[in-house]
Amino acid sequence: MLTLTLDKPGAAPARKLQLSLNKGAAFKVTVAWQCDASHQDDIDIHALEARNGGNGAKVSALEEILSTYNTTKMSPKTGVLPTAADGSFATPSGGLQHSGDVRVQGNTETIVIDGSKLPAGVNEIPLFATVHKAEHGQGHVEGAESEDEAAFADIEVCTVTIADEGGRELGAYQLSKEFGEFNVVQLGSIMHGDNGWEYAPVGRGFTGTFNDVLGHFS
Amino acid sequence: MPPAKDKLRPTVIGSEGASPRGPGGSVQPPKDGPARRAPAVKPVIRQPTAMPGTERRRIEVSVRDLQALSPGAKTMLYERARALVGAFVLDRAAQRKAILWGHDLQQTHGGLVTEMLDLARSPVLRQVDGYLARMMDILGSIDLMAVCGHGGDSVMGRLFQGINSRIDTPSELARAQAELEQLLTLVAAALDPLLDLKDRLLRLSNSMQGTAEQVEASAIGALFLSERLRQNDTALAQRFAERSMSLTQTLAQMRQTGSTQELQIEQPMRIIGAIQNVALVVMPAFIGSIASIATLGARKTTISPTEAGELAYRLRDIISQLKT
Repeated sequence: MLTLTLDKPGAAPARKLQLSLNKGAAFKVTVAWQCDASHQDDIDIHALEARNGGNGAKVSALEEILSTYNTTKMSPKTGVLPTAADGSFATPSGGLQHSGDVRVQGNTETIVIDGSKLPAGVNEIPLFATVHKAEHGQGHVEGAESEDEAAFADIEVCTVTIADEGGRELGAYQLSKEFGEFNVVQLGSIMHGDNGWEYAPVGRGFTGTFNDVLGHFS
Repeated sequence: MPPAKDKLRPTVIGSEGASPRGPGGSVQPPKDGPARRAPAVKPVIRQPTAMPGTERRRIEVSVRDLQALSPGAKTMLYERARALVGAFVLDRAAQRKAILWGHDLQQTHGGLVTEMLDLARSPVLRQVDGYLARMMDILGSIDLMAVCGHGGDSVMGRLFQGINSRIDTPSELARAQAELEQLLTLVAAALDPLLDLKDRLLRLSNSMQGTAEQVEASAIGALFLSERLRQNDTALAQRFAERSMSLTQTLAQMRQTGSTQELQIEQPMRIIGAIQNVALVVMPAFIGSIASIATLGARKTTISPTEAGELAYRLRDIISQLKT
């Protein structure tokens, strides 16, 4: 069959309508815990805006670390992420948003990962949960930490779920049961895979601090 | 003293210190900031970057495996059982975990049963029952035809009017009316506590339902683990088999007592219905009518047999509604 090209030299190419086919570009990590009101352990979740060029995910700027330890409220001298009035904070790109540190028992904290907002080159978001002893109150107070050891088993119920933007659960851990003897758990990574952004579980626990995490990822 | 490797210490993120594990454990911010040096492409990665640590390998189980082992449950319960099995870690504490598998649920069930019994014995229920019974006594004693001068015309009837247990004179009716009004006030005041009680019973019933589902999922999970571990750890498998049986028994007990619990919830609902529909709606209108009879009786004005019969019919209707 013969065909003719309808494009004229110099004419702007016809603009085509496009829909985003990047399903599941947003993810939500929720940690929920419940224990005695007088209990002194605090759970935190953290995420990194990392780049993985084939030798493992790495971060190279403080702005890429979504952690309550990296907020101006928690660490006024060294933290770089501003804390909003409602306690929430985010990376400068807005790709990682944290609901805010909560130290009231029987509560939840969430991290939302929005793939569409992540900077170009960021292709892996490692996710972590930590537990530490701390005084409870409405917010973190600098210097309120204690040196005592804590572990997830100290928390009566502590679960982490990772869900896509439709609310479908992609992964879940019962930290108090599965990682009871540890105080840091690498949950998994949201990574830019063959099908766009997707979640891959890791499920590894160890005893250490969040700085050990940064030591590995920077 | 430097912090021990395994001890928790406060995390401070800062820009000092070159070592990532140093006091700052920090990452140096780039001079240009993160936005400027971001490459335009997003390389595809296939494996997440994993830190060294203890990996929890989950016991693989599918919903289909669980269905084959213990058919007939809701799909949601197999999912829960799968999550329970997934969270089970084979370690030194496995025996203890097996012995305590689902134990908290059985304790929860015991607590809920006790709470349900306490609520079913709530004083407000007995009180309102008493008020309604007294109301029915009074209403059942009213002989409206006689009060209106249409039923107690026999010599014997007139002779015993006033000294029998029946309310068959206008003055007795006026006294009954006053007591009925008092009872209505008391019953109306009990409505709020009764509604609270109903809400608590419903919440408790929902908790029972939720616990029953967890018990069932836990029993399925225990049965699966007993089968899965049979080859490698007979003792542990036996513990799980015992737990599965125990949890199944608890579930059977919960289902057996389910109908009793429904009745316990039904009781305040029935009383609330009686108060709302009869005591607070029909009764005030009826009391208004008998107040008129008492007034007319005092003025020596007679009420026609048809009017009296109509009132007597309404009275019987109220009594029968209160009885049901």
